[in-house]
Amino acid sequence: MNFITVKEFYNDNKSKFHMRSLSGEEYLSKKKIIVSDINRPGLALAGFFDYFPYERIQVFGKTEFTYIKKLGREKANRVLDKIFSENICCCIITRNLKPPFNFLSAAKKHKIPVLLTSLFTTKFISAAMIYLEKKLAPKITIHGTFVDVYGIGVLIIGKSGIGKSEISLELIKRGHRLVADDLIEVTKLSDDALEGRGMSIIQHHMEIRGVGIIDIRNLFGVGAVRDDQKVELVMHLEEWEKGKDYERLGIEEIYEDIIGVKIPKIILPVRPGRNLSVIIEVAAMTQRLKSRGYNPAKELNKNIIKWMKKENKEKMDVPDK
Amino acid sequence: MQFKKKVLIVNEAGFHIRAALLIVKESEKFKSDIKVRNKDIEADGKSIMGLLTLGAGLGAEIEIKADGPDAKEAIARLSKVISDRFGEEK
Repeated sequence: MNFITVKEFYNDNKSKFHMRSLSGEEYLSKKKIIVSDINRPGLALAGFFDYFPYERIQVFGKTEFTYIKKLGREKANRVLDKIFSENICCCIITRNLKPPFNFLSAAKKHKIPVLLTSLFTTKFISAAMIYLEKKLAPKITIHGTFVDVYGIGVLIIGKSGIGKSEISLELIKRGHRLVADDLIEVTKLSDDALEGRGMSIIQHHMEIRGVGIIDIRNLFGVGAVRDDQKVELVMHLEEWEKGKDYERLGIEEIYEDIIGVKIPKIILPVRPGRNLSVIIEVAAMTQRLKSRGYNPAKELNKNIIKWMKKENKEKMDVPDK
Repeated sequence: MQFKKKVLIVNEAGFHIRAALLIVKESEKFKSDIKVRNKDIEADGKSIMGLLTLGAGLGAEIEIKADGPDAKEAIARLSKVISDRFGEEK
């Protein structure tokens, strides 16, 4: 199962959420977050622990603290001790509020980290959920080159040495943007959306055989790169095989299954003298049309059928006159 | 044939460009498909950019996998290159 440690959550969002650690910093790297949902433990504070979602981050805001204070010291300490004994991953206090009564000592006793943010509770919850959804989404790494062509994320795959990097370089030269070369991290954003990005500081570098390692951002400028993009088209480059049946019409669509998401795929035979970058540009534009409901081959077919009917009708009309 | 082995990075600079190039050059001598893994990232042993993406520094435990007719020899050769600190002094 996917998870992140509370430490990772803390380090990634420390400045964004104006977060700091109140206690239990030594447990940050041991505690794991496995779900993107977030809980406000109102019912637990009232003593109702059935279905208590201990695996979620527990958020304490103004409402929770006001209620705790109303409970009185003795009752509050009892219920806080019970909440912290549930092995929750971490506690977050919003609006820079000061925790009442034995809040911190109960957390310490059960080894639960407590973080403090200056954000309002609802703001924090929505921002944290967006972050966690992305972090906990299914992911794989794919070997290939990922380029943004006219706003369409085109994932170019194929055997090493087939020329993926060279073709991408030509696309960049023609004004398109490099997302990543070689290893691409693909994240499933939803059941029908994938996002691809590079994986480290080498993201916008490429290795071109004969030249060496080049830095695309420095060479072509910041407009020639982007950090991430949705994956909308897969281009599979392969050596031209004589006699193999390649797509001629584009009526039937084939798909590549990537972590359960079907992405339209084109198998592109490579042969000396074929200008593949132009073909990829055209394929990306065609994909845009198709995704907006226009299939050129189908439209042409409709027109041909209409035209033939008309022709036939005219021919048959002649003898009547 | 498929073989794999875990190797510790022992040179100070880790998988830097020259080290990655050495791995690629050695890998290319073998017919087998070679993969190098660090934590949850897996790279092609014949790709410099892939190996650099691993970010495998001093102390990282990487796994080398080879699949093909000369897999055993490939693993032996590559793990030796890594444990020999890529020929670097430290």
